[in-house]
This record gives sequence, C-alpha cells and structure tokens, in this order.
Amino acid sequence: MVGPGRLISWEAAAVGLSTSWAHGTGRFDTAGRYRAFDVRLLEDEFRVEGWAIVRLHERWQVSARVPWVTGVRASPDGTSSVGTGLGDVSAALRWDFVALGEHAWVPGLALIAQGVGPTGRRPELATDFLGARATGRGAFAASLGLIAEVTQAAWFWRFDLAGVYSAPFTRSDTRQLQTFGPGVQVGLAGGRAFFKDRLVLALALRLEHELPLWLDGRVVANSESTGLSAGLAASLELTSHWLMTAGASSDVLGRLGLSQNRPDRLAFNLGVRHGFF
Amino acid sequence: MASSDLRCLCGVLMLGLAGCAAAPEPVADALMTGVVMRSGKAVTISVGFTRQVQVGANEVVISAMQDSVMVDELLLTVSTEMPSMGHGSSGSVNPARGDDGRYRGTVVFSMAGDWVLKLAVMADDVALGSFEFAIPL
Repeated sequence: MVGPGRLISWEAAAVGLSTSWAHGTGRFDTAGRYRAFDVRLLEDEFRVEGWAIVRLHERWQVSARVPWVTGVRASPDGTSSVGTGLGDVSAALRWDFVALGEHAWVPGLALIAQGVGPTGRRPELATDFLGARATGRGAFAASLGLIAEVTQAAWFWRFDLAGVYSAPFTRSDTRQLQTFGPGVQVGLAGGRAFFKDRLVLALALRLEHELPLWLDGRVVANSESTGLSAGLAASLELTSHWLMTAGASSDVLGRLGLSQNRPDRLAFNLGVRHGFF
Repeated sequence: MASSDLRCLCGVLMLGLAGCAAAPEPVADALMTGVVMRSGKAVTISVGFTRQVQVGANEVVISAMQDSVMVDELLLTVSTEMPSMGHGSSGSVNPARGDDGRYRGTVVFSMAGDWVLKLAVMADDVALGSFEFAIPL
C-alpha cells in the first residue's frame, strides 16, 4: 500500500525517483523479543525506485513502481557480500470516489487496488552466503485498500487500511507449494504545511500483520509476523512542477513487544518528484 | 524411518572419538544428536560445528556411531530453512566422509534469525531418518 502517492488535483501525471537506505540493527524473533545484532554483523539495503502516476479520468489514477535493490551484508567472521538486482515491481489503480474537499464534513475517500509481481530474487536463489543478492519475496500479491484524507487549514490527516493476499508459488529449492498468509496494513499520518504550502512535514505510524504461511497445505507454526514502524516525512516545493521529499523511519516501537518475525531497521529516504500539468 | 526430532542448540558439539585425525576438533557445550536404525541396530548421529555458529557459511562435522564403531557409507543431506520467514539459503554442501571417519560439509545461514538445520540420512539407497535442529542466530 505504500506507493508513490497520488496526483494533485490539477496534475495529469507525475514521475519520480526515490532512494532509500535501511540499516538493520536487530530483529524481533518469533516470541516478539528484540535481539540486537552483533556489532560486526551488517544487514543493510539500498533501494532506488522509479515510479510514475497517470490520470486516466478525473477520479481514476494508475501508477507503477520499479525498484532496484542493493544488499550489503557482513558477517562477524569478516565475510562480506554485496548484491544487486531488480526488486518486486508493483502497479496500482486508484479510484477517488469522494474527492478531497468535495463535500463539507466528509473526508476524501479512495479505493486502491495494487498488484505486486515477483520480479525480484528470492533468498534461496541468492548465490552469496550472506543473502545480499536477495531482492524480492517471490510471490504475486494483491491488495485492496481504503484511504481517507482530511484537510483543515494547513493541517491534514490520512488513514489507510488494506488487506493483502499472496498467491501460492512453488519453492525452487524444496519444490514445496508455499503461500504467505493474508495480511492487513493500517497507516495513520498527520502533518502540516508551512510557508504557503511550500514545506510539508508529517508524522506517520504503520502497523502490518501477516498470518502464518502455508507449506504444502499445512500451516507453519510461529510464522505469523507483526511490524510497527514510525516515521517522519518532509516535502519541499522547489518549483511549481518539482518537489523534493525526504524521510526517516524506525521499527523501534516494536521493542514494546508489538513486533515479531521482523527485522528492526532504521531507514532514510530522499526523492524527487515532477508533476505534469 | 526415524521420525523427525527437533532439539534446541546452544553451541557446538564435543566429539571425543577414538582415532581422531589432525583435523580441528569440534568444540561445544551442548548436544545435537539423533538416532536412526540400520540393519536392526541403532546408529547415533552427532552433529557439531568447528566454531560458534554464525551468519554465513559454517563447517559442520557429523559422526555416526554404531556399537562404538564409526559408520561409513552413509549419504548425508543438509539444508537450512527459516520457517518464520518462509525461505531457505543457498550454498550448503552435503557432508562427505573424511579419512577420520567423520562427515564434513557446509551449512549456510544467510541472515540473522531463527533457523532450522535439516539433516537426512540414507544408506544403500534407503532413507534411514531425518532430523531438524533449531539454530537461532
């Protein structure tokens, strides 16, 4: 559900490039306990994503996102590895059935249908010992989500809710039929615009939960996952067409015992956006 | 076929076997073993590592003992799996018998997490048993 966003009301299309760096600091195990990494262990990921949004109709937008992933890994014994490759591409269709500001006291409401394709490389197909060449999850996935947005003066709020379904796939190493469990994603963001809307700052919370995965028709015990992250985002209008974005996020809230089977990462991102109108 | 057996591992295995060659001795403070039946007799399979298990490639040393005698002519297959994330890793090498009678190979754990080491034992084209050992990293 986290995608390139939406078009501003007067835009016909937008394109952009975003870069991010995620630094692994530890992990949340099956029981939700936080386990810090050995100081000599490195599990970092750099990601460059090109994306585009096109308006099909007044209330319909289509978008696509193509990520290029680079993994940087190091082991306590001094072994290191760098791997790179195409990640899992995605595309989405958005329908604004209630436009923002269309009705008084009614938030803007949109439905988003998104699909993810397994164009990345699964971990067991990464040829290095540290898995740096892994770039994807290996399964088709589809999600359907609802977005509600409210603005009041310089303030805005946004609420996301989405359900995710992953299609079964055959593992190349074990030949087992694997299916990731269905999941739910909830996001809440709020912020304010400054300097005649040229600068926007926002805070965001995100909760993701995925039910246990299946192998050959049987549930894999202790494989459900939960992740809670918090982030800060900013956008700066450079010109009427160009926008710069930046942000940081952390999974540290998971240390309250709310995350399981997830990595703990500190991430930073920087991007540019060009709107066509 | 012996049923799979899941045991916890907190280190590597001390193998005090007679006739040890000059190859590095596995050192451990916990046990990782299983038993299979061959020709009606029990064969004890002991699994260990030559160092503290870490992310990446790890040399695994396996001994098979029957009536205090090392058993050769076994076909051992190893693989690793992270069940909670639904993936394995590549690069593991099945153990092969060395001059000292032990079987040596490589198991790869490609990231930090709760892994399972899977070991399958065959002899004379007959599956004798399989085991799963939990290895948290």
